[in-house]
Amino acid sequence: MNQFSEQIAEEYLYDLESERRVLSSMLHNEDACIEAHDALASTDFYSPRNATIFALACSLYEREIHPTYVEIIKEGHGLGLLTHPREVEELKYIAEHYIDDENIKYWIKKVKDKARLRKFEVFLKENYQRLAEMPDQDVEQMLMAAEEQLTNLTALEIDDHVDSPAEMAALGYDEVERRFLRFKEIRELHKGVIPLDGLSTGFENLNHITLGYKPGDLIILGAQTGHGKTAFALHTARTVAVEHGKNMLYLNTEMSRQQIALRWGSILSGIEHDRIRTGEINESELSVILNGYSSLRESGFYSYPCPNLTPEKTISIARKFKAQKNIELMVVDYVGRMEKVDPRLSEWQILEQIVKTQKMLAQNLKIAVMCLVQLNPDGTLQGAKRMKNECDLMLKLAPIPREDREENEEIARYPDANYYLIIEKNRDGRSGVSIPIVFDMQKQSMRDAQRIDQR
Amino acid sequence: MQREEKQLYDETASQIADLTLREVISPEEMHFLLTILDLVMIHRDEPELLAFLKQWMQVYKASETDDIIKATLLATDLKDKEIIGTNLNILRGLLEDK
Repeated sequence: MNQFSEQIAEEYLYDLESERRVLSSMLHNEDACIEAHDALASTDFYSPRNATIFALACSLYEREIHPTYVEIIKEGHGLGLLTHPREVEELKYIAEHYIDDENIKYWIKKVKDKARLRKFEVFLKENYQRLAEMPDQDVEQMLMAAEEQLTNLTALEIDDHVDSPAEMAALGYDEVERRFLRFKEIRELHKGVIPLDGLSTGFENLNHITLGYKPGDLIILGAQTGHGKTAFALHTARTVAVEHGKNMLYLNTEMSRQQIALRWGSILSGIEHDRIRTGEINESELSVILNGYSSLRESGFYSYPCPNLTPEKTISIARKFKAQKNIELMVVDYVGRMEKVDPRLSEWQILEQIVKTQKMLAQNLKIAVMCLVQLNPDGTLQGAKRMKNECDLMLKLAPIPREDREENEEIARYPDANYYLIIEKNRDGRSGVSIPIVFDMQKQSMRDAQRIDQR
Repeated sequence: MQREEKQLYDETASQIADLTLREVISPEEMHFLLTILDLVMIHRDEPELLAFLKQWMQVYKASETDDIIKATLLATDLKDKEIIGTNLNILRGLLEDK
């Protein structure tokens, strides 16, 4: 029996070759690091030595040090984890046996599957023991308990969790209580200014309605060509990364590094973009611009210009920046410019696929993801209904029509407003609202329009 | 990295680690040698530092000056180009005075 169990263990419960393949890929390839860091935990490794090497590699990677063989030796020795020449030999064996088969996902899955099988083995052993120790127990209860355990095992992710009625009730009460206390605090301490649940949007009115961009949120912002998509993205970046110092990643599919850097000059200094671009500025303006860039230097803005962006690439880049910079927001400017993965799909199908990927990414990484999309000339959006289903917040940016300015009394109270920020969908609150804003195209800046009350 | 180069890299790194674990060299010496290995084989950087090391090895006699050069090298932050440059100037002077 024992011999049989050992044989089973060797054949089914662990696969040291797959573990070594994952580790050696991590030592040689950054993409492998990103994949393994995201998908595996040290506890997924059967060999304690392999688990330690994995933990070392992840710890180095999170500090932006590529976990090469040499770096692992340094780190392992420094932490007192490599104390015997035999351990170095084992590590060398892993480093030497790297095969660039571009199949990291396959090896990760094998490691993960074996880890799940080992949990299943523990489940079987525990239940067998329970049966042997307490033969007279309530069968129904025993089966129910076993079923719950098994359900957790079959769930793909370890942290998948089914809420019991009691847990849901407790969670609901906690949330209401938190909001009640916050509302009280607003009235008493903050004199009516609402603290946010997520990242500031850069617009008071939008903050008020949405309570900010929250982790797991997918935000879609649509505008026609030349109507402020990038300006909106960089306005968000200014608020989140420059003013609040939060880390964020900006992916741009159509602008060069220089173009993005120049836009910042205008946004941070308030000097017209055209003049900055042509260099038509005086010395005092140059010093204002320099000042602006110094605040960018201290900010959490990470930019990744990427003309051939694919949904897969966004996943990989976002995981890397989440691991290394703990980003709280990713902005994709813009999804229409992403490479077609499958040329047989039509435009709206591709957009739907991209948006689904981004929503999953936001939830898995617990970050807010903002996707910019291009509106048709008539202001509509292809595949809008499906996109609306996926996102948490759908915004549109459009100029205020002349009729509105002349005939709408409410808009007349905002004399400086020239654009609407329209909330088409808001999963957590009011929608169908048009917020009047000011968009200064020359200075690439945006702000809430000022309301002037009539006497 | 070519196959032979990779083999050389792995083998050298293992030898350095092995010497440390057998207490033939100190952890500081290991750290320095591994960083030099990465500089030569991965980053292919700091040619001046490497040229200096070669030059020094040709006249190395375990003298007091050699000990000072070694201590200075071990204390140098090899990630900081500015510090490397400053220290190299000092070390070249020491080598000339030998």
